[in-house]
Amino acid sequence: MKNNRETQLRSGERPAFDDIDYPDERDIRLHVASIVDEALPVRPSFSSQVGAMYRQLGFRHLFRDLTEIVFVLALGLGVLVFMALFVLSNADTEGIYAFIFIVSPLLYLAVSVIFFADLRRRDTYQVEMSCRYNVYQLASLRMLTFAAVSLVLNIGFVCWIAIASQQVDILRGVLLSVSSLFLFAAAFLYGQLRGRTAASRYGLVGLWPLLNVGLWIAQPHGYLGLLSSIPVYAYAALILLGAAVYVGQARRLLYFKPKLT
Amino acid sequence: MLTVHAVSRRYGNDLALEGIDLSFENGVYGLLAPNGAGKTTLLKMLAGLLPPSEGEISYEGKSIAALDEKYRMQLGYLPQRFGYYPSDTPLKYMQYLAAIKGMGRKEALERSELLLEAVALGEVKRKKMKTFSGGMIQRVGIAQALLNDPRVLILDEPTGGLDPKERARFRSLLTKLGRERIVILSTHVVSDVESVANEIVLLKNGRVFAKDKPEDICAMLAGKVYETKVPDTEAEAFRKNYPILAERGEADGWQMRFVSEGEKTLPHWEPMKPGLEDVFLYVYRDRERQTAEQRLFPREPVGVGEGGRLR
Repeated sequence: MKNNRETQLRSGERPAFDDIDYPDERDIRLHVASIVDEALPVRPSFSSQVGAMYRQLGFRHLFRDLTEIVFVLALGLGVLVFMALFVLSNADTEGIYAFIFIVSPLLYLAVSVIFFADLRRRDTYQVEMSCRYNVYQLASLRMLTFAAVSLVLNIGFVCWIAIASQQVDILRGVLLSVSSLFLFAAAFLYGQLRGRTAASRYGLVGLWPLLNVGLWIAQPHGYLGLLSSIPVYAYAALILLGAAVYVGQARRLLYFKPKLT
Repeated sequence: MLTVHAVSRRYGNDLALEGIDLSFENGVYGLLAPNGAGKTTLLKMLAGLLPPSEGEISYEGKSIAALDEKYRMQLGYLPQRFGYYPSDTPLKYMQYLAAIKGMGRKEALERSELLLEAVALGEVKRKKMKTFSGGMIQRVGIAQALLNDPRVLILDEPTGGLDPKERARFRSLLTKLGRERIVILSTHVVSDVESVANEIVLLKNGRVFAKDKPEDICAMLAGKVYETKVPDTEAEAFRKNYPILAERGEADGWQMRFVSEGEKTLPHWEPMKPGLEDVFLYVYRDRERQTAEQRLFPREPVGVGEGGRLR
């Protein structure tokens, strides 16, 4: 039939409607979608895109396999035990606040670094990049999930400290922990997306504890005093700023296109 | 329709591909070129994994970069080096890929099982892939590329590691697939595409050398391919004068298949119908390599054993 139609077209003869193949259901849907997209272009919002991805993938595919889940859980447990041991052996309230501020991003950091370091070296990278939800979109969803899980664990941990030590103000502790987590996570993602070298991408990872511990050692009164004296509303503002930057970076990751694959 | 318009790709100062113009409609297209000719680069760009340095690739009239996720939903891709998680079973890996291709859980399971059966891996679908041979892994790769019933199927050297029986099966599968989708496969194995491709694209020096039906590509050498018996004493001179496509050592000399572009022919030259392999060998002949090879391995008269091997 196709050849017949081509012959007709070449000869200038108009094909009869009966000669035209009727498109199948899938072609019809594709063409309708294409016309609607052309006329009414809508880019889904970040939240709807992330929501759709989560509904599609669920928790099941956020982690590659059981080994990865066990590793993350073991890591999380290790970090919590380390934090608990420090708090129990330290009676200094200001020291506990500083400790909360420094170690709050630790769990997020460990899981994220492992994920990103492995990202482009994996043999599966090319196949995963050609799928509807590519590696970077999955990374965006993972980062948001890791941040949420870290947030909940950190808040739980701070509450436990407050109850155990009887000297830590829950509100201040939570605000310190959350602001530290968001500031670090935002800077980490920024480094991942903008950094051209491994040093610039991962420099912050080492810089964060080094800078904080360095300040703590060099200027203990100044550093501890600063953390304790910053008003609660200032921490709240820091959290909002950090969260906004973090979500912005996660959004960039969602639409990220690497220059070389 | 998938269209490549004035596409070039640079790696630093090196120009891998230049001024590529191609269009693909439903059918099977064989991208034929020697290793390192830019096949993988072109396929990566067609799969949206690598942006062109210049030019544009569009699908149904829209840039694939702009279509982004919507294009990937129509795409099936098998990279040259298919990566997998060794501790996964093929079924688990297929279900994971189906999920990130946007398929529902039930559909993913059904289609994964169906495709694994189709590539003769149904019986080992629950075995870990670390125990698989290269050919089995490649078949998992072919199956995953078909998971989402893609409209555009891009396969980079898909037959690597497949045995002759599997290759034949794969060719038959390609013919069926090409009826209602664009199938582009790259290879340097001519027999993979000779019988199944609707069109052949030859790349040379980073450009499209030819894009045509196999029979029209073969017609490039029509009336120029001959076979003849050459005595040992004349063999070296003959090799210098004519591009050799194949040669076989025999007790009384060499059976040569060669190209003669001149008008003059000799009575004992037997005209042959050119095949795609002849064109491939002729287009991509490497004079410098052949000369070096001749110096390294001067050919002695051989009575037995060479059995038609191409040089």
